[in-house]
Amino acid sequence: MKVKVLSRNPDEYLRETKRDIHKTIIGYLLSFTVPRNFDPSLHPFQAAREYTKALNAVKLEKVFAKPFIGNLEGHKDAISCICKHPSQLSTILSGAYDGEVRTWSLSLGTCTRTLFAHDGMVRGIAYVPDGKHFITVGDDKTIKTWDAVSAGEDEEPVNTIVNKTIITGITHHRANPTFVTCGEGICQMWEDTRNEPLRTFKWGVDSLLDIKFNPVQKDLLASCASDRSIILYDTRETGPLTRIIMKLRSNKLSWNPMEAFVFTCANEDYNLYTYDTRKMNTPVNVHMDHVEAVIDVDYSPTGKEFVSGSYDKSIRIFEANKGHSREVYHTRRMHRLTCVGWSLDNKFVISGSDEMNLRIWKAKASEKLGILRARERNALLVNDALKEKYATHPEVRRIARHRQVPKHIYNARAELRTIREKNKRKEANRRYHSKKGTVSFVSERQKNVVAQDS
Amino acid sequence: MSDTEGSENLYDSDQEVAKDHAKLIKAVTQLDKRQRVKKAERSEPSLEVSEYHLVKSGVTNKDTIHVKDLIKSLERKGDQSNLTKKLRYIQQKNKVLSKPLEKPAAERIKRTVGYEKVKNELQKWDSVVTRNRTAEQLSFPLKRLAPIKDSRTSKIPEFLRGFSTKSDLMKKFEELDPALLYPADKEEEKGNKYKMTLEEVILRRKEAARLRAQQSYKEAKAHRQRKIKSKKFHRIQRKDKIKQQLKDFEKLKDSNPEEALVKLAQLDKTRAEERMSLRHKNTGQWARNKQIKAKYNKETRQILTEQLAISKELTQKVRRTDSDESEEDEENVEDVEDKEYEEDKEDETSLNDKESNIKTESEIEDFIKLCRKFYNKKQQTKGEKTKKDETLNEIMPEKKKETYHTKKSSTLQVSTNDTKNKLCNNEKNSTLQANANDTKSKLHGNEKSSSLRKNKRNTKNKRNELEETTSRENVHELEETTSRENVHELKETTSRENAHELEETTSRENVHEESNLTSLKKIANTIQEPAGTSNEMEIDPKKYVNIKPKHLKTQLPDVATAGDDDSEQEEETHRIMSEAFADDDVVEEFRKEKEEEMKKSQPQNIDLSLPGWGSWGGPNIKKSKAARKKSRFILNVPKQMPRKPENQGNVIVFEHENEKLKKHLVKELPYPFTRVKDFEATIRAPISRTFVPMNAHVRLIQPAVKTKLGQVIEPMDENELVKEQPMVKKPLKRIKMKNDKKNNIVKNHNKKRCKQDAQNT
Repeated sequence: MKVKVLSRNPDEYLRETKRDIHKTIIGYLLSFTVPRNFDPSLHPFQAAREYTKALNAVKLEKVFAKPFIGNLEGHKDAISCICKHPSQLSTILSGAYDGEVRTWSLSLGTCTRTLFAHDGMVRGIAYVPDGKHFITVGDDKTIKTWDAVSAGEDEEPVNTIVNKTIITGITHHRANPTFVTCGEGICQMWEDTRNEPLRTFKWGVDSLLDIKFNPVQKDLLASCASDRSIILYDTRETGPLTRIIMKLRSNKLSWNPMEAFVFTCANEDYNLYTYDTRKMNTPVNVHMDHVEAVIDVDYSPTGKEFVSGSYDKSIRIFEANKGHSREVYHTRRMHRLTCVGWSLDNKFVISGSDEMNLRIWKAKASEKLGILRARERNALLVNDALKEKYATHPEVRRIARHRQVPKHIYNARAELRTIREKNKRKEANRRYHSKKGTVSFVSERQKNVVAQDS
Repeated sequence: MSDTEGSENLYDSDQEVAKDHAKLIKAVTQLDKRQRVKKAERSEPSLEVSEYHLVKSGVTNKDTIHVKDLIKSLERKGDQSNLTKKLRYIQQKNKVLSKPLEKPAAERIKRTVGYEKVKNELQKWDSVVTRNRTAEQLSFPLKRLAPIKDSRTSKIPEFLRGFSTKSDLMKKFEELDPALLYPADKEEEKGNKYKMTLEEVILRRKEAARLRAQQSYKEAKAHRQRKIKSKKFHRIQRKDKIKQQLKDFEKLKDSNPEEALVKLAQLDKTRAEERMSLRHKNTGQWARNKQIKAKYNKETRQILTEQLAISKELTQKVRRTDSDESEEDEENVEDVEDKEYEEDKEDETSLNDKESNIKTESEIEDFIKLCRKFYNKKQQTKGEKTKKDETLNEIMPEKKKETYHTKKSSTLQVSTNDTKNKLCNNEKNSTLQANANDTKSKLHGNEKSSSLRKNKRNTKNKRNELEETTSRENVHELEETTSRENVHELKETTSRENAHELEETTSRENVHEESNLTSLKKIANTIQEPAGTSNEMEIDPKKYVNIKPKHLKTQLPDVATAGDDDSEQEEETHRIMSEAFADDDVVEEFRKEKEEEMKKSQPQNIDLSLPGWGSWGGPNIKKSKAARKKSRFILNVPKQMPRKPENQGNVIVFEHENEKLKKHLVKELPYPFTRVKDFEATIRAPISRTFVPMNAHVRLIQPAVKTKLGQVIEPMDENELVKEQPMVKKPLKRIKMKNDKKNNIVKNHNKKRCKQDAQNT
């Protein structure tokens, strides 16, 4: 039997508000809302109304900006590193200075597993891409592979490799079963099943601080060295490719997951630098806003933004193509940042800090989480669009840009500003009082790169 | 050494110094017989063979045996000449390899080469990255995930799927009918579906092609027909269509009543649409042209009435047979009203006849008669259906009264007009005009009150015309115009009235009548007043703006200013505006506002006097009125310059910028824009739903980046890159096709020939 069902588009008979005018077609039960006349001459105050809407939207954004979601406590020492699960959004690993590694469930907000992995601090953690194992390296010169799935009573590593030198960082290839560790002057490439390094890359003698595989062009590697250099490697045949030396050393770097040739490094000189690997002699962009050394950086999975944690006890979110941050997060209880991460669904930011806590933040401070009804979603979209449209208007921009920061950051910024102004003035004076052409202009980008070696 | 030499330096010339120096070096070298840096030597039996030890410089050339020495002996023998030649050739060709580079340099080269290679390799991502950077909207994850395969449809064998315990319900099902639980796979059917013989496939394809071709023919035909400009052709076609439809409908009635009903509903709908539109009303260009001709041509009149009839027929609301009694009552009432009106009209005409002898009157009569005929027909048909009710009698007296009123007013008006026109000293004209006004007023009485305005204006115009024509006594033209006017208006009224009567209810009708009455009276009153005062309701023309409107240069599409050239329209808007602002004195208001603004802009004197300063203060003490004392405390502000000349007109110019507004204004042109105009245009383009249609609105508010909560976004993959398509050589293909065609033609020819041959034989 066929049952015929009457179905109508709700837009045709439902009113948006009580004040909407209803009109019925004569003689029939059909009714519809009165169509609007969109003739621009009939809406002389259109621009003014939209502007007011935008102003309200930006104010509301401030009202709803509550980025802090929660913190995960349990570590007994400062957190040294975090690692995201490659496919599960709710799982995260964290290593501490006392050699403890913990597995967290973000959805529950609890610790699901605790391991005492190393004597001394845990330097780095890397998940094997299938998510079944993870590898930790520590100050005790060991590389330990752990089972990520089953949690037995006595936590023993699946495999332990004892190395000759201290290892400071680890990164896993995105597709192949190989990983690379970096340490005192050399970086070694390992295979999951072997206990001897496959290859060893060496350039210079200074120890390496961090190493990262390129997630897109999968065989490319980049590492930061303590001799202020950033080195590029190709793991297939050539090994080291090129390196640049900056004025101060870079602490960490992160590859853009959507743009194969772009990476950003967190520098000691309070700035972050975005590089194009094909043109290393000048950074593409300098991201300034932190007032102390930047410790860690991580790209959002969309590659449009990145998050950075600094020694000045604040987290900042930068747009990848902009020079200044769009957001700053801080809490009174949060101390020096040691690691930051951006969740793989682009919605959250996770930070680990000196005072033994992991914190979860929203990537967009005023975003509403949870299910939205169509009208609500639409309204939010409209607000966003209006904010964007009127972003250049001074009042809108003022409200949108305004942030409350701790006193020490505020004062430090003022101080830095004066320092920068002083330098500028000095340079201008020198240029003014010397022969034409002797004091050349050097852009902010070029200032901080000392040399490029090959 | 240089120091010791310096002390002995007695010679001035450089040459001698150089000589000495050379001598000294020689002496030093002779002192040390042993070579300090050992030249690299080849030590063959070592384990480590390095290219760095293979140095030519380590071997002295003096004692070595060369190949040519060895060959010498061979040369003597004649048969070995070939071999010697070869050896010599090899010796000439071969060159010794150069020394390999030092390790750091070699590595540097290796790195540069490797870096170049990687750079080139990275270039393949350029297009994707630029695309993503410039994309209007990106929704992550970029690539769609493959749909999860159903375990049942996947090709994993049955026994590998694992065991599952059956629930009680499943067990019961199995007892009843095992097929219910596991429905047979449809794969077999699918397999059969595609099993068609080649002939079948070809046949089917042919059929499809034929269908397609037919469709395209039809389309082309329809297109062609639509392009035909002849109206007649289209009319005929339309009529044919309607006829065909009717025929079909008749057929359907007998054969398939259900479908006939559906068709009827459709017809109903078309009628409803017709009612909504004004297609068959006599307001179109065609109808207006006909109306002009109608005076002279009977046929056109016929056509017009026909047109009206069509419209009536189409716009008639279809009564349902089971409608209430009240509705019937209404109809009756309406019928009665119709008659009343006709009577009125008769009266009018008779009155006209009495007062003037104009030729055109007869024509009007004709037309009215025609109309009446038409009405009578209609009413007869109605009357047959429903007989007169008692309610009729009740309403009758009321109607009579009303008609009485209207008559009265009209006569009144006539008299007034007469008096007015006496001033013009033109008897004939006066009567004429009276007549015109008379009929018009009555007609308007029947019309809606909204048409009141028009009437008034018409009368005014008439008056002017009349005044002009007094000298020339050109009456004929006037007659014409009036008569035309009459015909036109009559028609209008009749049609409009009919339309109204059919739908409105009784209670409203009464109200309507009353309003008409009052409006009529109003007209009478206004006309009674002298010409000069008729404008007083509006704003004084002296006071009112008589400057040309200035339009600021904006990009705003201005509808109001668009029709500036049209003086009539302008007049119309002017009149409407004046009427709308009849009560409030705009000019005065503006003047006051301006004065206020000017006062505000002037700086005020500041009074700094304090009560009790320099005199006694407190309660019960009067303020000293000494102006001198007080004036000492008043800060006199110098009188400002008078307002600029451009401010002295009928404008208020705010000379000082508004502080409150200032903070909302954009000071600099934002980055991507180069011209203010462009920026303004973007700001002006609305995005809210209030100002743009929903579809556009939805498109405009899309976010630049879309992500989903709980959806992992993988880094970019090589799958994102577009594979390079192999070059397709199209021209070659075409040539092939052509060749094929030629071959086919040749084949066909051959076939035909064969057939002919066969026939011949």
